[in-house]
Amino acid sequence: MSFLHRGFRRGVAALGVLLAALPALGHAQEPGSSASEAFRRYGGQVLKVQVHETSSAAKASIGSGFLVGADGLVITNYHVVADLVTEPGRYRVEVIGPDGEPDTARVVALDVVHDLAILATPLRPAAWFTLSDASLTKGARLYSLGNPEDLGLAIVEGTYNGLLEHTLYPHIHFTGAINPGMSGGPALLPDGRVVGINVSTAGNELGFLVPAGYAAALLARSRAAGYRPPADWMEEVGRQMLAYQREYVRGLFVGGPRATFGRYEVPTKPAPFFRCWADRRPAEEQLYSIVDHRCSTDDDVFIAGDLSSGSVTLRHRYLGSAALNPTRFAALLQKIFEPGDEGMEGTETHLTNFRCRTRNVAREGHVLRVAFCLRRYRKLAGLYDAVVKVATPGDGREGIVSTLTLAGVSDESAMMLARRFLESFRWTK
Amino acid sequence: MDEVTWLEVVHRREGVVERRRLDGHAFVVGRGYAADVIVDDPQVCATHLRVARDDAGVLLAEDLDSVNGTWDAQRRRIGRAVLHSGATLRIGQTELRFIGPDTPVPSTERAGARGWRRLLEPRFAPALALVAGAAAALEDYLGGFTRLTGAKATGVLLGFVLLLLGYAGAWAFVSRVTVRAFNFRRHLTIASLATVGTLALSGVTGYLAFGLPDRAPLELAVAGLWSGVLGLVLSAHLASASRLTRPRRLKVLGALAAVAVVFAVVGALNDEFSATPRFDATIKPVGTGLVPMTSVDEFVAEGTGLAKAVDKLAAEPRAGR
Repeated sequence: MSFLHRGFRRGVAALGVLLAALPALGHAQEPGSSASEAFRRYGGQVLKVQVHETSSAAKASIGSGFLVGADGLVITNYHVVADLVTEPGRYRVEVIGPDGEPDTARVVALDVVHDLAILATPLRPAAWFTLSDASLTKGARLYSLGNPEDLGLAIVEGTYNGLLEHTLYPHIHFTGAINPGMSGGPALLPDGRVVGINVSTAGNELGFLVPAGYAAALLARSRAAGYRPPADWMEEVGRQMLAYQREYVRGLFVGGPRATFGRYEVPTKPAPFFRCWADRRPAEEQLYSIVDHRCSTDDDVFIAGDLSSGSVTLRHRYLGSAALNPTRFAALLQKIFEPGDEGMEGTETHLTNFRCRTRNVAREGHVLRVAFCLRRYRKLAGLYDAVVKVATPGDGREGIVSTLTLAGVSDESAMMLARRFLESFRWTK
Repeated sequence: MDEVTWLEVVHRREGVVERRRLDGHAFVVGRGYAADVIVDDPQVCATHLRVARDDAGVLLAEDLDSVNGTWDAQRRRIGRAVLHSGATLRIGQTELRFIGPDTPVPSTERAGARGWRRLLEPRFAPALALVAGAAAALEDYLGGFTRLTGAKATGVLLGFVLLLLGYAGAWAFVSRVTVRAFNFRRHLTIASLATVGTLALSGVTGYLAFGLPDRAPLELAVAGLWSGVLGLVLSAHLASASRLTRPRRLKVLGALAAVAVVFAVVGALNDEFSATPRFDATIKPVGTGLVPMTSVDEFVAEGTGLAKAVDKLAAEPRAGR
């Protein structure tokens, strides 16, 4: 998923653009007769969410939110209010209703993985939304509300197009022009039940929603905690990331599909929600050939403007040559094995440097040349990024270079997955 | 006390310019034609110094009221001085050495050196340069994975030979300035041998790095080996491009080594942020049984150490903050 609000965020594969403000022009759409009805009935329960930098009072980001209770609780996206969490004290947040009057809000709960936050406001509304996890059929009509480009409250009519399969958790695929600034706004059925929260877009009416069930669950957890925010937000973010990775890491590389390249049999598609591509590149001057096979999810977890996490990528490059002698083939293998193409990003603010270990590892009577690298999230204790890169140096004119990258995992998870990964290498002859 | 039998006149840049056997008669050293030993040094007087034996046969030097004086080895201006074997005097910019018959000389060089040392003779320099070029071309071939053509191989070979000629030429220019001789073929020989040695060493260290990756003591030893080779090459060039004696050359190299160590330490301590991992990626065509191996268990267990290392990094305050 990429990102359009204060900086550009690049993932392994762009799923969409988070909707918290800035460019991309809206696509005019002929509203159906019931759209005006929906706007009239529900527009009053949708708010603009504005984050200000405290010292300059300048707007830092803009999004949308919606009321979910008589006590003034508002649901929005985590990425709309992330500044308050990552740099507490420097920012404040306010909500603006239909009357145009700003009210100060505070964050009481968040779900970093599903990009949700709950704000407490002094509002005491007469009407609010209910969240629904009703199962819908493709083509069901939905209305998305929000403040595109800070142009004022707008309603967009669109259709439900099922759940995305290749994301870390299922997103609703919404066909309709949702745009930056609509982040955190509700997507509702004609009867007013909210089924999703606007979160990102990939342009051309490709919109994505967080299923409302996650918001209901967060609301329930926060209610159980008496709507008391945790003492330290970054600690809470770290705790949620750790709990999240513990769940999904467990299922990676367990009895999944395997791919055969020449004499090698290696794992592919670490979990069902991964998407894999392969292409065979023509050999340079016909001396060798490369098959490039990659798997990744379509999104990752937004933590801050310059920090995303949670992505797992797998890449195999199979090399074969009839023309190169073993020494020259080793030079080719080394070129592919060299660091730099792992796709790891990040800034010094959030991450340490990598530390690596290279060893020759024995596996089924063959040599695996393995580099294992870790770096840590500075403010999220116990959370690491890992790179495992493997090459097969001893197989003459055939070889494979495989790279596994893990973002936002515990050291135990990194070591466990490194082990599963290495133990899954087989030679068919 | 050794008997002094010879006087050597040593020019500041050109070395020994005259040797005179001392025959018991007194003689005068100076720039003028009245002198017995003429020294062509503008700071020397026409009659500068007189050397004679006294009644007891002791050799004495006597300054003849010269303008710039006569100085002994301890840089004291003297009027009269007793000369033993090995004594030196300086007049102007010229050194006078008084030596006896027992003064050692280097052992005889055999005409036409034997064995591999013959390769060091200047006439073999061009052939050695070609060998070095061929070694470079071979390295380029083995270290690459693109199609080989005759034109490309020849290009690499000739290109490298040209590089060597240029390099030796630069040293030859320095030599011409400092010792008034180009010594071009000597420098070419040194450069060619250095090339072959360096390529061989990098091949060996490549296999070592493959077999024993990430071993700090080994990396240190290899770094030491490299600086040794560099020192050797530099010392060889300096021997032909300066009048520095061996101990002086060693001092120069020692100073350079100290600078190199400082740079190496600064480089090793530099841990500038990079989002890209850095690791030893050496790959050699070596199968099982020929390299030390670890088990998957042992390897994965090393992750604990890595986690501790990056935890420590996370706890450190960042530079400039």
